[in-house]
Amino acid sequence: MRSPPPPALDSKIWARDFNEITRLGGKKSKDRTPACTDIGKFWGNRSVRIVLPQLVGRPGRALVDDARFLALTEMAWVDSYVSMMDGNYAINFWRPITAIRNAELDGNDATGPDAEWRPLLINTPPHPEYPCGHCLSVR
Amino acid sequence: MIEAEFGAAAPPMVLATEDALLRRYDTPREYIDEVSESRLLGGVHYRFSIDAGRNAGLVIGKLAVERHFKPIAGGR
Repeated sequence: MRSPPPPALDSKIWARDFNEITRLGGKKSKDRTPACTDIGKFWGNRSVRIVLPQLVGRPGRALVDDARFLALTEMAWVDSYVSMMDGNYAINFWRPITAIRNAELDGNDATGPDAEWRPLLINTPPHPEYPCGHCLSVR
Repeated sequence: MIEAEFGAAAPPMVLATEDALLRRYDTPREYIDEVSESRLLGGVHYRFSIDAGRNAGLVIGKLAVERHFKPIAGGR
């Protein structure tokens, strides 16, 4: 379940997405709306699984069905986590904080370094970047 | 998986937290879209990584539903 490789550093997609996150994901971004800042912060340090208790214990649902639903979603969540970490360490791609500060290394004329850039979230996750784990396990 | 269990019209999910942030999702799709986008807004994932994660998550979720979200003895 490994994702295809990320775009090459000399590609237009790399430049497009590099510049997008530089603009919208920075701590001092001027283009991110306050509502979007709330969204980024809310999911910064939370598991996507916190929605699941919202779904169980509702009228018409049997306890055993809810228990089974929670067990099976937990199982799939673990699968998604394995897939994410497998890709992370097989591909070993740099996080935005590293790429943006060292953009002269990517050989792409459409990106430029910002030595002061920090992400909105204080703690960049301490493992490689690709693919996005929250996005894998949000189902 | 939420959609498979509850239908596209799953009950709304309302998350209130100690730091007074509140999120509300009326459909599973809203939840998936917002969580994914949050990683770009937080400055930790590029758009192409979000797309790759979503695609792999969809495959894993579908496999889980097809293989395990089946009726069991007793009609459930």
